[in-house]
Amino acid sequence: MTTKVTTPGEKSLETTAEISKAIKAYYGGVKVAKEEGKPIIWSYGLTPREIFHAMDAHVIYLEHLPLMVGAKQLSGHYIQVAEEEGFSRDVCAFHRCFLGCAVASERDPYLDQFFVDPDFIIATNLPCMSESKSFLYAADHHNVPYYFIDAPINTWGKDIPDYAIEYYAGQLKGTLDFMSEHGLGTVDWDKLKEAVSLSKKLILLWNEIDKCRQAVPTPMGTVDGLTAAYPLIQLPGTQLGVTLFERLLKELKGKVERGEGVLDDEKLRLLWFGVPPFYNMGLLNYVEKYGAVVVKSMIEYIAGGAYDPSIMDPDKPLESLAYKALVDIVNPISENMVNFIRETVKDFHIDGVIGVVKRSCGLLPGYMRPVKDAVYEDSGVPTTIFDLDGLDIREYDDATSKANLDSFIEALLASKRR
Amino acid sequence: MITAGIDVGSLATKVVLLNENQLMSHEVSGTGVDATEAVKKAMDTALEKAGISFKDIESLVSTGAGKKKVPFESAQATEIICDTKGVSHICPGVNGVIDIGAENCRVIKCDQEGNIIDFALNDKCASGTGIFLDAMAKALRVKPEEMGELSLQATQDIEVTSMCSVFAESEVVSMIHRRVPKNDILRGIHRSIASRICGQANRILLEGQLVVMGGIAQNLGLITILKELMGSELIVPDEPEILGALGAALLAGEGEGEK
Repeated sequence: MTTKVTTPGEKSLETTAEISKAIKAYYGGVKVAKEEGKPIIWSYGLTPREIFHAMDAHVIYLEHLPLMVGAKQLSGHYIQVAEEEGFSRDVCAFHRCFLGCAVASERDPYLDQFFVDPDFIIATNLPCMSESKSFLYAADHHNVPYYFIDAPINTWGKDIPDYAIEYYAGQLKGTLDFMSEHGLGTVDWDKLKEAVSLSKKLILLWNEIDKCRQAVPTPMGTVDGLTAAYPLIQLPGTQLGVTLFERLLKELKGKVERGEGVLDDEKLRLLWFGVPPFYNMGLLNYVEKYGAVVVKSMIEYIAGGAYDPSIMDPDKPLESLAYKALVDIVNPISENMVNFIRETVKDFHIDGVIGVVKRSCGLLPGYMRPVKDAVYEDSGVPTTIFDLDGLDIREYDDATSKANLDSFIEALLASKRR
Repeated sequence: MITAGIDVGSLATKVVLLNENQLMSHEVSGTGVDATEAVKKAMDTALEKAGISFKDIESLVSTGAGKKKVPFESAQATEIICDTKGVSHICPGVNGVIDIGAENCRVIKCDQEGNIIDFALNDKCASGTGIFLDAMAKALRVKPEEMGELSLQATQDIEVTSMCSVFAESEVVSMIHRRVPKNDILRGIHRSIASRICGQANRILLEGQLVVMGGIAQNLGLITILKELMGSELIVPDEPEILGALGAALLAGEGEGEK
């Protein structure tokens, strides 16, 4: 008998369960679309989802699928398949996992429920350049067309120059033309404007949700938050996303009014920086025995969770989407990420930051030191940093991870007692 | 008040008994394959040395990788907390701790009052720790306790580049075949470990007056190179391996783990 050290996360909100159903329904819809002969797109990175929804496109998102596979503890298997195909362990675990799913000769029943072969792939270098090569391989494997969206690297922070906006908007226009040429009909600009308008509503609701989460005790931790962020990541530009967030906001407001938190006696509030272990989300619940809650995780804000909604102008849809993508916190080099964490620590009354390094990630580990220093300098809040891969269970060491968390929380509690 | 601290490490189990925070006795023995049995034996020996019985202990705290295997009712605390407590007791005012144990290396930055400011643990890889040194001792056919002294007799600097203990062993075996003097290889091994510890310490900006503890602190060869690399004042107290258990016993005196 094998004793598992990993456990799924325990969620506490009703709306999160609804969102989980919406995720399954979405992928079920992709499968049906394929059977009806409609074109299926594989896409990844921060490609604006609004353009897909405006074109009624059916898309499988190559970062999201590994999360679902990871939550079922199947990611290690597909990562191994990709390695057997010749991909190095240094390639991003998300990419390896998806490539493993893509090239596997046999898929388990769970993955098979929603895995659909592509008719074309839309790629981008935002946020990771390595994706462009990894998924070119997938395009070759499936012998399908491949379109690449080139995004400028943000060296400007929040003041993106007009020429960069114009350039990226041009890239998006090219993407729409490519989709039209590949069986998705002509672009309905009114629909795209409506998508931008709905996207703006979505971020305004998210900001209100965030306000509720700032309450002490917090009504929603990141175990729920990572599922709750699905509309933000994949449904911007849809009425469904807005409806789900309206329900979530209502539920959270009720909890705040009643003073209900994830924990009744909340002693510590933590922020997770980096990718949490999707195969063992119970690790985030583990800290609750100390009266600690992981209130937020940075990963919830990837793909448009932290930008000023006033920039969304439905009359300038491509420019609005360009700005939203280019200011994203994971667009490399900019100070946006560091500033976002710094502000989050203050706004959410965070006592400590847990930074986890995914060695196969070429982007986030580089932020660890600057984030740690900035947060400490700004708020005196400490950060612990340790190795933990969010998808590759073969890299996971339960004892070391828990030893780090135990030590960090004991030190935080001791500091609070002083 | 008589208190006890138990530190169950992967290779050694340490028990410290205190009376009003003054040392009554201590015991260090091998953990072996049965940590529970090792704790019982170490406790019996410590009690015998102190001339008291178990019922005289009023409060007990356990720590270490095997703290959950302790067969007595006790409070538990992490090594970080216990190490800092023990070190601050014997060397008040130091700036930090380097604890080099069998499977783990911990670096802790603390303030003048012994409050923890920051810490870093090694990752799951064992190189840079006692078990790595044991593996190298076997490859070189020397006793682990002789490694430090022999390395001080080295005449040249040899680089052991592998971070992984398995690959480092291959590298060492290839050096043996090339007839590189044993003492030089030992110095190279120590430099490789010291360099990793130094990197870990730099992650938390550890500097100033530091205490090195854990069983490996008795290895003079390693300490010599660590001093060279870190440029800090390193203090190795007598019996550096019992400081975690001492810290646990001191915590017990503060009301943690009262029976």
